[in-house]
Amino acid sequence: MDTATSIDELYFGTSAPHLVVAEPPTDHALLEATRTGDEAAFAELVGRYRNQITSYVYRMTGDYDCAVDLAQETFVRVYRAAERYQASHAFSTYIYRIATNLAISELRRRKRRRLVSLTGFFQSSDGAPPVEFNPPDLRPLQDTALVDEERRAAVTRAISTLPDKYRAPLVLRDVEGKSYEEIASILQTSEGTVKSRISRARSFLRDKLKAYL
Amino acid sequence: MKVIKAMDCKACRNEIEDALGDERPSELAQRHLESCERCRLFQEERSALRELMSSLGTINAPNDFDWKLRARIAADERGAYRRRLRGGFAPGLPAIGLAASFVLLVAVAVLFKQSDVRLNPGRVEVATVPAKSVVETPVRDSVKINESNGGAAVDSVARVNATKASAGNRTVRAARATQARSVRVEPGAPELRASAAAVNPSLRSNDFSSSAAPVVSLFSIPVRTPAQPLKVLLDEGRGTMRTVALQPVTFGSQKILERGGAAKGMEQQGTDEVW
Repeated sequence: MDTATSIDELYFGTSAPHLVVAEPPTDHALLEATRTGDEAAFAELVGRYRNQITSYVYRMTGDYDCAVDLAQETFVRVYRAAERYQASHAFSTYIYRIATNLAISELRRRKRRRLVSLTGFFQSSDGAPPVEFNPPDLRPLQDTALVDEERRAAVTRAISTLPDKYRAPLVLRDVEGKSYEEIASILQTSEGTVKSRISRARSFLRDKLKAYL
Repeated sequence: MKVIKAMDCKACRNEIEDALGDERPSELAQRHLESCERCRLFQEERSALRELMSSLGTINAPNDFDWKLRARIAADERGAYRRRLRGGFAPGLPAIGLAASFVLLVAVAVLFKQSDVRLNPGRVEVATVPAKSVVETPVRDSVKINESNGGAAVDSVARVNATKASAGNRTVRAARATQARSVRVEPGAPELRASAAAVNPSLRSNDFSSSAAPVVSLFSIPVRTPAQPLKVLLDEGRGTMRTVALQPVTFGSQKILERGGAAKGMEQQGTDEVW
């Protein structure tokens, strides 16, 4: 005869259940809960993606305030369209697609405004790359932190000079670490096109960042 | 024995491009890289570039991101509620389109009418006033009749307004009414009716195209005229005056008066001799 050695065994029997750690809900489940009015679920969803989306939009636009604004707009659209969401793709693909569209719209709006760029004064009319207004100092710096900061600033400037259609796949691949398949799904194009554009973007960057390679 | 095929540069570079992060190339690619200097340089460049890109790291959202997002969603929902409220009272697109079409139609009609008047400016005036009759015919003729009797004051003036109608029968009727009003008749005196046109035929209008009659008005002349001819002063209305002598009216007693020679002699002879 079995004897209970603990309260759990006394309560649940001798075959007490093992402790089961609840898995975190999936993105789809959180969005489903958001649809029913669960604000905590939406807050969880925002917590998962806010840094990724902000960082991605920042790499696309090069403006932090604008990136935060567009990231919030991305979440507003997700919240507004929660009832129409269809789980045919991963949620990350869905939210990155919204963010990409917003970022590209912002870049096009900037082009229409045609702001006068200081570097534009040093740009030749034959389409040659513009001379940097603040050219990098190639002399070795004493502080490693400053070197890293300078390098990151140079890479950011180089990315911002890429055409829109090359910028998004490059950032998604080399910064965000997305797969070709996912990038193709986000940009709604084929994998071959994505590979081609990424290769072309890297060639552009190599020419612009020769001093750091 | 395992046979390893050689890899060309294009395939090797594609594999290098597709590599993600620290992913090592395949054995075939490694063999190719050992033998191909250009592909090895390509791989080093791509690795350095990938390292640069990954050094960018992640940019974090600000701490108040959630609060601002919550406020933004709340504002968006309020805006959507107001839009729904306004949408209930706002006219629909078909109504707006219909109203816009109506306004456009009216505007086009007004513009068309204005352009038509500009192109044919005489059309409207022709219908009201014939320009020819206005220019060529006298507008107003007046006939003044003075009765001169041995230095007596003029007691009768007949003014005839021979208004030449410029257009239409309506104007002619109005002119005739004016003529009738302007004739002064001495009360109690028998009247002779005569036509001013008979007095001066030049008053007739030469413009036969006009339906308006020439001077046709009648005026009265007193019967008690003496033996002397009656002088009538005609005002032609153009600054010219004309005097016309009218023979006296006798009614059969003219010879008697002439035989008497004077009124004084008549009084002395007595009435028996006269009749």
